[in-house]
Amino acid sequence: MSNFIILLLKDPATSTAAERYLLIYMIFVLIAITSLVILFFIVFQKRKNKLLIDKIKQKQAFEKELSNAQTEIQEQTLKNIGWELHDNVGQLLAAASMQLNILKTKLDNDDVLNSFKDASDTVKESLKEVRMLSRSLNNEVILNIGFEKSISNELDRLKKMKFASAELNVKGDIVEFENKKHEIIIFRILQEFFSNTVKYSEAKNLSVILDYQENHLKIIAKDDGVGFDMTTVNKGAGLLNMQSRAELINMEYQLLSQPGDGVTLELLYPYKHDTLEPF
Amino acid sequence: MEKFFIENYSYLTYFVELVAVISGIITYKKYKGTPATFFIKIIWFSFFIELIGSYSNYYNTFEFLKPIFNSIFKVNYWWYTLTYLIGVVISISIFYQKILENIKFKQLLKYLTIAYFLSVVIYLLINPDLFFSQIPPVISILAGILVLTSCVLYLVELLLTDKIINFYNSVYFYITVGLFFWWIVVTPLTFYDVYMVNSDWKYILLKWQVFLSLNFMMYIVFAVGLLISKPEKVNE
Repeated sequence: MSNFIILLLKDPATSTAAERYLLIYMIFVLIAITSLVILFFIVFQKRKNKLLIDKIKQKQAFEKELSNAQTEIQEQTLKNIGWELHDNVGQLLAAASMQLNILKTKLDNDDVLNSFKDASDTVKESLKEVRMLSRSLNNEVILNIGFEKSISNELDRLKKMKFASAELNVKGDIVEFENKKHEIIIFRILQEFFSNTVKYSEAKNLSVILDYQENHLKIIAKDDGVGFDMTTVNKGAGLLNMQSRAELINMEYQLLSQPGDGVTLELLYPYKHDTLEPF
Repeated sequence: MEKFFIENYSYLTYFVELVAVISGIITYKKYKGTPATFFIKIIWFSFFIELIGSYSNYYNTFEFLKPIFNSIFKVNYWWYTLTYLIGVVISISIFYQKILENIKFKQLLKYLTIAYFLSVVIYLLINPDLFFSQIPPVISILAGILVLTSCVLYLVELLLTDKIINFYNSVYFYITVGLFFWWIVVTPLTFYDVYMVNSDWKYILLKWQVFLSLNFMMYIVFAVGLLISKPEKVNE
């Protein structure tokens, strides 16, 4: 549309300087208006972006609070069950054991005495189991006896149940956690991993490595069971729980598995945390 | 300088248009399946319109144009009215109908386009002599209103939706800015067309400078927009 050449002179009128200046001025006004429109868009976009980001942040904070509360409730529940086991079932078993001991003195037949002793031992063994279980459920006990000791207790308990070997290896110098509650969370993640191993893996060997490095603690838990296919597995509450707990304390979480190749859980816990969390 | 400008004005225009045409060719694949390809075609189409429309500059160069010189088609106004003001403008409106998501806006634009087309046809039927002697100001102004309305509807939709968050990645935003800029400045120039006569070189030079800088800006914005944007799917 730009290059018309008029060859016919219909209208010999010519433009005055004033008209041309007016034209130029008009163009500048229009350009200024358009620029203002664009500027408005940029400013508006910035504001809207900020609002949205704030909204997302709020949502995240809320979700974090929620999962904190969830974990706390879970801990409380586990503690209650632990108490119940210890005070209720444990007391009953202790009483049974005592009564059996009293009965034992009244027996004189050797055959009966032997099988009686077996029964009595089983009751004692169950009492011990119940006490250990109640301890592993109670977070205060975990805090009390320490992180490594709790894990090795748990592994001992599992070894007795069904494993050929269940080992804990500690490398490097032990670093005390700044936040004791993180110990509980890591311990619960490992517990979840163990319980999955017990339930599904048919594994014979279980090992946990705690590698205290300069800036972070590397935890590797491994079993040699049947494993599963990462792509097709249905992520149940257990797996998701482990992950969300890991995220709660800014821990890098990696679960690796292949069918027939066991399962490996890798956790990377940084000693230093930027933000002080409520947890 | 003035002499150079007068001699090379049309080549300079082709050059900036070519930049947009080439960037359209380069990015055509990237935008495949999105309405942006439709706009790339509009750019190509405008380039050909400009090429063919320049026939009136070459009566002295090419002998075979002589019959046209002696006919009613001697001046190229009819060509621009037909292809640019009707063809391209309606294509731009269709393009905006494709990218708008708000049903009301879409319909408004559709009816406006139909009204525009009808009024242009009726106007030309009433004043057939104007068709060959000038670009009728009424039509340019109506075309300007149609294109600017399309742009404004798109910008309003952008403000109302979350698309605003990513607007600098949207090729449609760049297209809209380019079109808006060009049409808002060019439309009032119609009133000065009385001075588009050979004797008033002061005005013609000014107009050419304005057109050249506008074309330069618009096509560069198109080219840059096409190159840097990310294609987006439109739910139709």
